[in-house]
Amino acid sequence: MATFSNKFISTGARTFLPFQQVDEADFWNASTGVSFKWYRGMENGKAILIAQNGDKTFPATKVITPIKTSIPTIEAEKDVASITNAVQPVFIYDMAPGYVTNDIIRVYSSTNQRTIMGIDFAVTMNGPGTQATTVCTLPNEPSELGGGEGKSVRIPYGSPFYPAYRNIADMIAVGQTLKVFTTVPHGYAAGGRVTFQVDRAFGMYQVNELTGTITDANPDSTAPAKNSISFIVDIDATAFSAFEWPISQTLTYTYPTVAPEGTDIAYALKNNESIYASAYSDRSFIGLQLEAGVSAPVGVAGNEIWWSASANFSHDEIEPVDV
Amino acid sequence: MNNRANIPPAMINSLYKRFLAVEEPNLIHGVTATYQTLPKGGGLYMTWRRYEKFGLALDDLGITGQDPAPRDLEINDYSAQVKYYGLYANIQEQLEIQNQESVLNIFAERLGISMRESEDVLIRDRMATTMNVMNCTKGGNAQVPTEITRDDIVRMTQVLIRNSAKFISRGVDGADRYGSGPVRDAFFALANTDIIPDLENCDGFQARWNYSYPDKALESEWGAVRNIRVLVSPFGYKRENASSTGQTVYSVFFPTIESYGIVDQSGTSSQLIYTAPNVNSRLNLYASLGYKFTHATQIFKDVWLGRLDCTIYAGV
Repeated sequence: MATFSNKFISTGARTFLPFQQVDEADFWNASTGVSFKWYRGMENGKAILIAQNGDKTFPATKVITPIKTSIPTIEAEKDVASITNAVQPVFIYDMAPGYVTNDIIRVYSSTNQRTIMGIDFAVTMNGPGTQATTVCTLPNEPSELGGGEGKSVRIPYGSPFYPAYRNIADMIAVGQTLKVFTTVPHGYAAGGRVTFQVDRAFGMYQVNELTGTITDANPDSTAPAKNSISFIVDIDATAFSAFEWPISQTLTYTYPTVAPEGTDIAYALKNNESIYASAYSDRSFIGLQLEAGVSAPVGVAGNEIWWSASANFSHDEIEPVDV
Repeated sequence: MNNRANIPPAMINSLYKRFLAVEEPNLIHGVTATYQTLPKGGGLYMTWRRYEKFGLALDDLGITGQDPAPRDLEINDYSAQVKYYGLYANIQEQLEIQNQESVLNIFAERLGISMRESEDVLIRDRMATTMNVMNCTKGGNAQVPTEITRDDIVRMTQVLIRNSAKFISRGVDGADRYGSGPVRDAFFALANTDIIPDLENCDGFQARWNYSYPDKALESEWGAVRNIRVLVSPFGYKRENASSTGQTVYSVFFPTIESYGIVDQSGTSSQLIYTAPNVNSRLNLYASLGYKFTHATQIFKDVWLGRLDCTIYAGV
């Protein structure tokens, strides 16, 4: 039996704790007095909530889920009742799909919104919990037809490799540089080099197969909603065509992508950036996914969370014996 | 009557001496990689460095005698952090004492398969992050992307050639053999076995058996289409719910010379680790057998590593 324990301060967002092996875990919110007890074998998402007065309940919503990010589990698809044709498409559900803000979802099977099908989008949840609005902004409304329905799945984790390739939502020339918006947080670092693939259908085809160096990995850090989905690269795009989103539902192109490609050593050294910030590494892990909220183990921002977790010696099932 | 009711057999079953096979899929993703070893004591990262090309000099130097501005040579590093992976099993001593078969040998054999399959999947998932992605669009299944066709393969080949990627395999000469044909200089394509029916439907598909010298094909090779020789594996990369109607999308990788590399660390590249019962337990109750390996994969140039995304005609 091995036991680990520690504490963390809640950021108010879903939190992951990595363990090689975990069979039971306790979480105690020192700020509210609420605690949670989880045992291996419990239904996914379930844990026992122990209120301050000692009452024990199973919360109806997901609170603790064991995860293994190298082999993500595809979750059940949800019906999207309608899609708002807007620069920030809104996916509207009849019943709350259980997504939370900053989740990444993929939408498909829409006849009217085919130009955004199959792309992974980070979303903000509203209304309450039934409307998923893309964090990124497209350059124009993506459909010539408008509206439509569809289906969606949540993507629990992306590629385990850092940094990963991303889909591009928009690009604009800023002075003699190019500002790029991705559909999900990109996780890139300044000094990293990136290469673009942009089909003619998206306007700014001149950037196709060009490589540039990231000079600012998070230029919108003061705007929380856009945090981590934009970066600036040293490509002079002033003479390029404007980036646009195709609206025709006849699709004969590939979505624009950007991918990291090494580190610009001269830039990194000159600007005191780490020459390993863009190095590849496998960030997969085994552990527990903890949900945030007043009735969840992570609590709300600023809560102090104490935890302990244990791994059993063996997973043999020990049954009661007759005496 | 004397029968088994009064003379039962002493032994009621015989275990056949040869064990049944398990799936051992083709492991195709490391076949075309550049392989390196990080020396022991060599730190966390393997770094590959490229001195980029100078641009062109097309402007007249004129008559003033003034030198043009000097050019700096750009250097780019491609670093990958070597990580450790492993798996083990505990084996209670009674198994070794009471079972007739060689338990440890069987464990060792199965651990070996697990290690190589793990390595293959790690390489595959890293290859999937290339920027050079192209959807198949020339098929007829009304999906985005469509099923793979000859025209899609030729488009991806053209992108690689435009970027001066180098063929991996030299052509196979023709021979005076009925029904056979030569094979062009080729890139390899690494594909999931699910796309085999669509490959067979590609215009100009040539099965490996129809190569003029079939023995020059790799074990995992299914056939050739134009300048592509296709290796197939059930481990080929795929993403569920990723097409326009939620079908599985398959990615066919097109590696070229020096497009990606794999690295391990000297001394830990692959280890079979046996821990004896007297080390594990005070009463010698169990042994353990496991493996550990070090690994990292790095892409050296995205435009040299193509990823052609497709669905399959029948749909999954």
